[in-house]
Amino acid sequence: MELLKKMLELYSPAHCEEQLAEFLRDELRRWGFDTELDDVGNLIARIGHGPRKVFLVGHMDTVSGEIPVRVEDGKLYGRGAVDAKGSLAVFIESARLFKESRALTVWVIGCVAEECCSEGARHLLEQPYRPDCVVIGEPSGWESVTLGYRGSVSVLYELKCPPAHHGHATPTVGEEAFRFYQALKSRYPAGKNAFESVDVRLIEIRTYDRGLEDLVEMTLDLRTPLGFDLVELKSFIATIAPDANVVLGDPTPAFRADKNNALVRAFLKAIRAAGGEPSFKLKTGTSDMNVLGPAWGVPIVAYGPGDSALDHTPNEHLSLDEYQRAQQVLTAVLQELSTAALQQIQQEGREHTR
Amino acid sequence: MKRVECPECGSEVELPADVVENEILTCDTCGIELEVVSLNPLKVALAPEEEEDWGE
Repeated sequence: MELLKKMLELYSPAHCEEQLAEFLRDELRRWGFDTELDDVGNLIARIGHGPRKVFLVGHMDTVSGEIPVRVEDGKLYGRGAVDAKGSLAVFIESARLFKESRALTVWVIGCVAEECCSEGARHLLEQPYRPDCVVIGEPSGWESVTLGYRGSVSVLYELKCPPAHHGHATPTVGEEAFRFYQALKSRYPAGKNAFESVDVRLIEIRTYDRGLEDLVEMTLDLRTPLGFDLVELKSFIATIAPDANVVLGDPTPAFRADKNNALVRAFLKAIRAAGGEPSFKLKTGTSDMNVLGPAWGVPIVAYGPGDSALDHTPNEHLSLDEYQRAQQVLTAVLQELSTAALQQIQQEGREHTR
Repeated sequence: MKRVECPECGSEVELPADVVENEILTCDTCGIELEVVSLNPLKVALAPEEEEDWGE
């Protein structure tokens, strides 16, 4: 885990990934990867010589809040240990074993700015990349494979009103904003399954006394399920807040991957071979899978070591055992894909010579 | 035609001729998902569960 430890020591909140990216570019080049940093700072590293392209797409950025890097009781602490430098380090350490592969070319991509806007992933879509399958680097736990993520859309609410005496019954702008929030919460009550429900979260609210005008600004974050009706949301907002200025952010739709393909089968087989009992996960957050999954349209999962309950917490850490098991599983997955690709290449060769 | 018994409801499940290991199938009778855990001998088990999880 020396690589991961070094990656954690290079603190890299979103939009401050440059130092880590340059370290990985140079280090991986020494390990035999072809490496470069693209126009937005994504790390692009390739290894192997085969026609089948496996993309391992992690992210280099973390949320802010530096955590002293240390090993205690078999656990590595540091910002990004779980979300998601642990996954990216596993990708690198497994991919390096396929340097001589004639079946696969393994791409290890470290995106920038996943935590804020998926800027790095969106930039990948502007390139002529055509992967055959994709693994997104996010914590699933070594025995699980993540198949889907909810979507998200931000709601920016702004209301201006003439000020009234606080002894008057007229609602304050803050109360009006809170009433709007409560109306949305009531419109989208919690369902039995979180993955299939809308979650309305109040992120920030500020009120301003401007003398002749009171102002409130509020930011909500809606986590949205598959098939969420954005038009209906806009219509509802127009009904409950006709006097407010409400702006919706660029929505990220929910995404759920297919689970009956060679990539998923390789994971199930590898997890069992490592002594695990596989399960599938559907996440209530979002990741770069939401951006890349629907655009690339190839088999895709998210996989990586760690407990995502530790994402974004001051106690973020990764057990060394978890890390090693995830590496074992991913290496076996790549081996399985390599074997299948080689058989297919040989078959195509035989058909060509007939 | 390859057939196995559904471990959930006991009814007979037909498998495609080109079935592969770790393939996921659905029992037409009870609707539960099954995974082919072995080809020789042919064996199915309940497919891995789908769990909801917080975070990324």
